[in-house]
Amino acid sequence: MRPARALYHLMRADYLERVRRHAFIVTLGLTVYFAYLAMPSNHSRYITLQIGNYRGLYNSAWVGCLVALMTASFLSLMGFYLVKNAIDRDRVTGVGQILASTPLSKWQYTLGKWASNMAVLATIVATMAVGAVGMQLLRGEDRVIDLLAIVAPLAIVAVPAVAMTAGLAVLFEALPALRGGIGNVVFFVTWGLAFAGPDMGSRFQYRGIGSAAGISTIVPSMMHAASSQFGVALDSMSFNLGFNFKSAGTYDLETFRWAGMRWSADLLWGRIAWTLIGMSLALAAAIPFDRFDPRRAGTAESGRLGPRRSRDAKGAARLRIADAADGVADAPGEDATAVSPSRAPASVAALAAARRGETLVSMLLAELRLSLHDMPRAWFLVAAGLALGCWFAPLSIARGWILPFAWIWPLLLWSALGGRESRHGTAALVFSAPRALARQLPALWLAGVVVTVAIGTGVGLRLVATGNMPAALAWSVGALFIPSLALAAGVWTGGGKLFEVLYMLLWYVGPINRTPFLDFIGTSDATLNAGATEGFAIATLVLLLCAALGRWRVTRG
Amino acid sequence: MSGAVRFHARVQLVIEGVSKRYGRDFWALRDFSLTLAPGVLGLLGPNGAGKSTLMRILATITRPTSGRVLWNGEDIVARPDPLREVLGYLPQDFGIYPNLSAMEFLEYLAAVRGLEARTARERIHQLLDLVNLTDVRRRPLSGFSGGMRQRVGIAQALLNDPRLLIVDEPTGGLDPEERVRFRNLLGDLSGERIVILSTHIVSDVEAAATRIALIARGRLVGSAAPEEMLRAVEGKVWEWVVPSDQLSAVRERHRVSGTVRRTHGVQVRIVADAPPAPDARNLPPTLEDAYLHALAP
Repeated sequence: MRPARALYHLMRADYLERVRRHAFIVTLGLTVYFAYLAMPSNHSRYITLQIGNYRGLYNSAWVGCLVALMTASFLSLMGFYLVKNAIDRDRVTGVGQILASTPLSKWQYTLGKWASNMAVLATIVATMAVGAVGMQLLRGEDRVIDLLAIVAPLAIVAVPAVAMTAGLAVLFEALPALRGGIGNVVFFVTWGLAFAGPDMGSRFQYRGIGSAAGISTIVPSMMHAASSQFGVALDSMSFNLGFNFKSAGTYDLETFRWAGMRWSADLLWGRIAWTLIGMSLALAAAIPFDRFDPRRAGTAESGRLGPRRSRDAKGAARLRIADAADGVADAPGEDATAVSPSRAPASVAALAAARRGETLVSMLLAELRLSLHDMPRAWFLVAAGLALGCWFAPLSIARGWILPFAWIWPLLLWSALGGRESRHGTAALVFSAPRALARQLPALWLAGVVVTVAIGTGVGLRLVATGNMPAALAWSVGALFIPSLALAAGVWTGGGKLFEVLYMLLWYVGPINRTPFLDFIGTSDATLNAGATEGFAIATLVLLLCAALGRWRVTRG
Repeated sequence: MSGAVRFHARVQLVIEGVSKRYGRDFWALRDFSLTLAPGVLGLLGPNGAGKSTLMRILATITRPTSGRVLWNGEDIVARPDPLREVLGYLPQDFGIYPNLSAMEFLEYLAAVRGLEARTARERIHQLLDLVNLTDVRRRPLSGFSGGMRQRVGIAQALLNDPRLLIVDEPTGGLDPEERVRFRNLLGDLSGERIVILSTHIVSDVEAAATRIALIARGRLVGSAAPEEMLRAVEGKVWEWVVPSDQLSAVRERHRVSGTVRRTHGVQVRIVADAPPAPDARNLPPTLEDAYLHALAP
C-alpha cells in the first residue's frame, strides 16, 4: 500500500470514528458557546482580551484575531484531553493488533494519528470561525463581515497551535509513563510553559518563531495600534488574555478600530515552524511506540510486574512450558510452578458453601483495597508526608498551602472512581451482582471520602480545635465534594479524564489562585465570605444524585 | 445480613415473548419464549443469532424491549436482586483488573456479590484449584493468557454457588484439556440449578446439555432433549465418496455436515430425506447433523 494512501485511510477511519459519536456533537455545541463567551458585551463583568484600558471594536479583524488567540490558548489545552485517546482506542478495541500485523510502519501510524487529531481539532477551529461570524453580527458593533479577516488568523494562529497539541497527544500516548492519568497531569502543569513560554520570555514581543499559542504573532500589532491611537507609551501598556473577572462593577473599556494583521513572511514562517514541530513530535512518537506489543505495553501498564518477573527465573521456565497450551509463554509469578492438572478437585459439589455476609463495610474495604492497589509505594510516602504536614505545619500554612497539595495528590485514585468498571470491562461482572446501586456505589464514594479525609484530616481537626467552625465546615464540604465530582464524572463518562481536567482547572483557579467563589477547600476566610461552602455543598448533593442516576441507568439495563 | 444462601425448593426461569430492538428497526431478539427447569440448557445458534443478547437479558444486564422474564415467579426487570443473589454469569467478553492477582480479583468480586469474607476465601482457593490456577493465583492478571483469564471468569461465575448459571461462549480460548475439564465441570453442576450454556460449538453442548434450544435470526427455532433432536434426523444422514470436481455441485444441492479427503475423491456427509446417490451409506446422526437439519432454510 502506498504510504500516502495508508496515511489517508488511517486518518479518515479514526476521524470518522470520533466525529460520529454523540459526544462530538456536544463538543461542537460547547465550541459555539465558547465563541459566545469569548466576545463579551460592552458592560460585562469579564473581559477576554484587554490592551491597557482598551479593546478593539468588534469588527472582523479584531473578532478574527480575538477568537484565534482564545482558540489557540484554550483549545491547545482542552483539545489535548479531547484527542489523547487515538492510540488507546486501537489498543482497547484490538484494532491495533490488526494494524500491527500489516506493513504499516510505526512512523506512518503515529503520523496518521497526528493527522486524525489535527482533523478533529481543525473541525472545532472551523466551528469557531462560524461562531465568530455569528458573534460579530450579534454584538453589532460593525456589521461588515470580512470572511478572510476572520478565517486567516484562525488558520494561521490557531491551527499551528492545535498541531502542537495533536503531536503532543500522540507522543504522550506513545510514552508508557505518560499514557495514563500521570500524562494528563504533566500536560496540565507544563502546558503554559510549552505553549506560551517563549512569549513570556520575550515580554510578548515577536522573536524567533514566537510561541505555539501565537500571542506575540498578533498582540504587538494590537498594542502598537492602541498606543498610537490613544497616545499611550507602549512600555506602559499591559495585556490580558483569558477570562478576567471584575470583583465588582463592569468593564467599560474604551474601544478603537483596529485594521487587522499584515501577515509578513516572518510571521508565516513562524507558524509553519510550529506546525512542523507538532508533526515532528508525532514522528518522534514512533520511537517509543510499542506497536501494540502486549509484552512491552504490559511492563509499562503494570509497574508491579517488573520486580516480580526477575525473582524467579527458574519458575519462569516451568511456567512457560505449562502455558504453552494457552498460546503464550508469559512472565513468571512469584510462586510460579508447573501447573498440575491432578491437583484440581473432582467435583463442584465438594466446594465450601457460599455464605452471604452483606455489609457496607466489607464492600468499602474491597473498594479501598482496589483503589489503593494501583498506587506505587512512593505515592504512599508522599501522601504520608502531606498528611503529616497537615498535622504539624503552622495552621495557616497547612490550610492555605499544604492542604491544596494534599488534595491534588490522590487525583489518579479519585479519577478511577465510577469509571473503573467501564474502563476495564468488568461492568457485566459487577453490575450483575445484587444491590450494585445500594452497596457498591456508596462504597465507591466512601472509599474516595476515606482517602480524602485521611490525607487532610490534620487541618480539619485543628480547625475544629481552634474553634474556626466555618472553616472546618468548608473543609468538610471539600472532603465530600472531591469524591462526589470524581464519582459523577466517572459514572457518566466511563473514564477519569473529565474529572482530571475539571478538577485540575478548579483546583488551579480556586484554592491555588485564591478565587474566593471557586475555592472549594476554604483556604482562607475570604472564601467563606464568598459563599463557596454553601455553593459546593449544593454541588456535592447534585453530583451525588447525578452519580446515582447514572449508575441506576446502567444497573437497570 | 448474614447466613447461608437460601434457595427455592425448585427453581424456574420463564421467558415470555421477549424481544430486543437496537436502534429503530434492528431486532436482535423476536418474541422469544421458553420455560426452564433445573438442568443444563444448550443454547445453540449461528453467529449473530441473538444468543448473547438473550444471555445479557437473563443476566439482568440488558432490559428487553418487550416481554418479560420471571425467576421463580418474579419479574427480573422489576426486581432484579432476587435473581442477582443466586446468579453466576460468565459474559462472552469481560475484562479484569490487570494489577490484581486472580486471588485478589475473586476476593473483590466476592465482596461485590455480598459474600461473607472468610468462607468466600476458602471457596476461592477451591475454585482456583478447580480451574487449575492455584499455582499462579498470586500473579498479576495482566500476565495471564486468554485461556487463563477465561478460567478466572469461570471461577468468578461459580463464586456464589449459583442457582442460575449463565455461560456465554465459555470455551473460547481454552485449550483441549481445559475444554474437557470445563465440560466435566458443567456435568457436575447437577441438582437444583439451571445452567444455560450459549455456544455455536455443538460438541460443547453434546457433552453437557440435558436440553437444547436452537436460535436463529433472533427467534427460537425449537427446543428439545438431545435424544429428540437426534431422533428427528434418524435415517437422514448419508455418506458417500464423490470425485473432487463434483464437490461444489453437491454443496449446492445438499446440506453438507462434513467432508474428508480420500485417495479416490472426497467423502461427503450430508443430511437429506432421501439417499443422494445409489452408493450412499446411511449413518447414525450426531447433534451437529441435527443442528444443521433444524436450521435448514
